Amino acid sequence: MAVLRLSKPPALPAHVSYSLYRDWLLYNFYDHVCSYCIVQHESLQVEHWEPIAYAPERERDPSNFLLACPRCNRGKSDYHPAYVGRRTRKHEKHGFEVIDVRKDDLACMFDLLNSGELRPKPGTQYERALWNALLLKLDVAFVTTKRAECLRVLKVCEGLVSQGGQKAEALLKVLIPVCAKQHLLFRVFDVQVSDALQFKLNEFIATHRPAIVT
Amino acid sequence: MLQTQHKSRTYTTPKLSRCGSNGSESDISATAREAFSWSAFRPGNDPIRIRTAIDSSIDQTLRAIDAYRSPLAEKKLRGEKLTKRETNELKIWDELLGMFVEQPTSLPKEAEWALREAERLLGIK
Repeated sequence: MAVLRLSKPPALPAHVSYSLYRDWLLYNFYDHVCSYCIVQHESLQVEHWEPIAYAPERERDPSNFLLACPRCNRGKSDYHPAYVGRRTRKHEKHGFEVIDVRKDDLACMFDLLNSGELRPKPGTQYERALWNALLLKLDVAFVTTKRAECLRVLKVCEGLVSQGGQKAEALLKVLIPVCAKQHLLFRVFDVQVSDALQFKLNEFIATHRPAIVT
Repeated sequence: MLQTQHKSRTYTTPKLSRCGSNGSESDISATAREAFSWSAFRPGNDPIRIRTAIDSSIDQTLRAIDAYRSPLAEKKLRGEKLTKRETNELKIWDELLGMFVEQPTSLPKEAEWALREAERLLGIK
């Protein structure tokens, strides 16, 4: 299962703003990775999984927090993740549950193609995956291009690790941090990473993000 | 020489429905409001109201784009082949979306250079 386990949230006093949990979330989502599209963004917002409108008592509950890019946050809006009554398209009878990286195995729902495109996997979750892709616009061109770029960096790093040599090592020094920042994408979608590269990535993550369970 | 009795009529701008148009700016915005079901209100100088006004009009625009984009996106996600026209249409909607929402972080320049160098070293096109 490629679900994501978050580290223990900081113990903050009850009266502080929930935005103070942002650093903890950024740490867990490896520097600006959106929990819905799993792509890096400059500005991420603390997202209430269960909207405050439905559950005001969970406004400061860390287990209700995720990080979302403005685009995904707008897509999900105040939609209750477990409420399936809302339709997004005219011909639909009902909606589906919104994906959650903490409990849904996205690799079972989507195929990540080399082009960066996500394709819903045939099976029981097919319609839900398709519905989520449309709700959160996971298929939009600039996000697809970004995913393709991450896979390109991974492929190049794999090549450099197996080739070895002084120049390859120098280039890896620049590219490993980029690859490590996207390791969530590879983990979540079960992208195969060789043992040698995984070792290098773990080494980097252990130095920079020791508390993250990899 | 054959001559017709035809006399050209002076051109007048087409009238937009329900706007009593003379082509002025307000008519265009009225048509846009009608087409996208936009509603207008005066936010004044209150920054929160201005922000809300911007956000709500972006939301409405995104919803309007979505209505056209979704059927094409669904077709593609289902693995059905899109026609050339549909592919181009989807591309345009995506570009338009990119103007209203924040794009993912791009690679740092140093990493971009390293990526190109590495591809050259490995012989990847």
